[in-house]
Amino acid sequence: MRILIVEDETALREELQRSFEGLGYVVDTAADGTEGTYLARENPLDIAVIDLGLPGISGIDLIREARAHGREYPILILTARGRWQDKVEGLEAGADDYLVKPFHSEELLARVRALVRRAGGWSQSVLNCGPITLATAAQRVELHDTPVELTGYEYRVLEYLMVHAGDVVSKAQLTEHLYPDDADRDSNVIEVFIRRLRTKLDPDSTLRPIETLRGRGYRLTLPRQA
Amino acid sequence: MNSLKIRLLLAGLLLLAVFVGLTGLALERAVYERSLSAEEDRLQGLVYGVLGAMDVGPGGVVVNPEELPEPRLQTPDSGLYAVLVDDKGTERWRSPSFLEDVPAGLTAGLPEVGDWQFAYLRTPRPLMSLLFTVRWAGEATSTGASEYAILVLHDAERFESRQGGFQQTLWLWLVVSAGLLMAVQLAVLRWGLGPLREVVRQVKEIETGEREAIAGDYPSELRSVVDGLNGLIAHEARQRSRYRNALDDLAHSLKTPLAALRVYLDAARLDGESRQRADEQISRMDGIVRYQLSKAAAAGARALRKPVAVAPVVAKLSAALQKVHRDKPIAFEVPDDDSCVRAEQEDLMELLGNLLENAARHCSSRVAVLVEAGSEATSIIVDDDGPGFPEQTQALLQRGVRADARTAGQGLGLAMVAEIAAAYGGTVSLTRSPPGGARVVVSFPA
Repeated sequence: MRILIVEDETALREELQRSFEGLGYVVDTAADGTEGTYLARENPLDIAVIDLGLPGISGIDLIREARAHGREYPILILTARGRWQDKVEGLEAGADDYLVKPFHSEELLARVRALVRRAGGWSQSVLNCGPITLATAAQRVELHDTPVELTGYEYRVLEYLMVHAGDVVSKAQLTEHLYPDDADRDSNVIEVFIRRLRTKLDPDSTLRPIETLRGRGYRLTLPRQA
Repeated sequence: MNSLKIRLLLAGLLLLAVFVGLTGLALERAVYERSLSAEEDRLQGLVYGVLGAMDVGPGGVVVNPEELPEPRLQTPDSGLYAVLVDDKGTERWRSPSFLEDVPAGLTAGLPEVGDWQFAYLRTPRPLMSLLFTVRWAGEATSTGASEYAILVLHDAERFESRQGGFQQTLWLWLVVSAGLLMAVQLAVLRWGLGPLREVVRQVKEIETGEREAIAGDYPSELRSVVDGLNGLIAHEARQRSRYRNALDDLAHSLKTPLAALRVYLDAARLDGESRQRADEQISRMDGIVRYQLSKAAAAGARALRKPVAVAPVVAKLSAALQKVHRDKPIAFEVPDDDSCVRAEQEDLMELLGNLLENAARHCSSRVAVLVEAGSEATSIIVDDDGPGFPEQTQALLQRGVRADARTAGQGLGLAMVAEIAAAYGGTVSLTRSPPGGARVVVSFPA
């Protein structure tokens, strides 16, 4: 998952970046509204966390700008003032949730996860497709109620496919959302992860959870269960 | 007495009364003196006439009736009389018109020779009298008397009735003109105080929030007051927004480090107890900042305040909360009338935001907001269909409980609601809603 954090307070921004990276997110950061607006408009994001009290372009204007450019990923606003006027204005501008400073990292992470899966059409924190169960909070995967051991990257690929279950996800999309810009992007690596996932989730080749659409990408075919 | 109009009117009335009274008295006096002296002149003429008719006859001085100047002296009881007395006071002659006695004391002491003695007798009937003493020289002295006094009398009834008529006319006209002056004064007052009335009307409109400044062109005496008032109003508005901005900046600069601190702490992998202790301190600080700043920001009851409609604020907040609680569909009932409360828009938003957020969090699917406008208070009622409040509800509202004595999230929202309501002299009560959930009633004095 790729997240944008726009926060002018350096300590907070760096700390948030560290915790999200620790959880396997690709993190873009900006310290002011101008840079934030550029990233919000241009980067393939899954979610953005935006502080309302920004120097330069305000958080509200940043959100409006992103929405005006057709960006539909969820946006969570951070507000220090915590005034309802600000929260309502932010939500009206196109944000999806708010968090008042100071917040707990866990609270922010939970909200971010909830917003991401809600954007993928899921209403619970545990994603269920056929016999595969993925608990987003614990980052745990089970197959037929048996835990499956996945590496970080394998988990991220599976989470992305499951959040978007039923949709075609291109290799480029996976690379963009799972690797930072400066990383060495070899699309063959994605193929390797997919192959390993298939082995781990479908050892006897009966389930066939991930479909390959030649030239277009991958699709998780198992039906979603609410 | 505490009205400019009444003061000016009373002063005008007093002045008018004194002026009209003095004028009337002076005029009356002057006309009376003048009539009296005219009467005296006339009697003097008569005395000379009688003098001319006097001659020395056998046994003293006699009056020749044919030579009398005034025929009325010949007609009995004509109102004009003449009497001749000698220096002993004995009557020597009287005109045929005079049928009564000489009023007592009139001829008791004669004036010096050549002197006039004028009198206005009121009893037994109004008479004007003039007495003149002459000395008769020559042969007349042989009769023993050399000094004679001529007394002329004139009936003063007509004089008096004319005076009475004049007085009546005089006072009638004076009263009429005083009435007219009064009316003019009233009109002048109305016209003169017009701009003041306009200012008062506009200030009232500002008080009820229908207007933001006093508009119009005013006389120079009022202009500085009007400019001063407008300046004050604008200054107050500026001051408020500066104050709020300062509070916002303070909130921002206090909370951002707290946020950083909390995120550090979360990442620091401390053991459970140390982390919890440190976190409690952060929560305390956060609670103090939130509570005190929201308390400071509540504008409170203030003279120049616009009434704010409740429904649009509820609609905005419920749309926002529905977005946030997308996983849990909530039906918000927005008031369907245009009831208003006299509060600052921002304060109403804070108050309703806290109440609706609580309701949205605890309800199962419904939140209803009602406004009941009474004669003494306007109440905003927020109902939900959740589990309702725990036992000790009033403790949640306790104002003045130090915010640092609370743990974060424990009713801080409700305490802030109570604080805002209190700033407007309002009250908050927690009860049970019809579906069995929580009901919060916030009453603002009307």
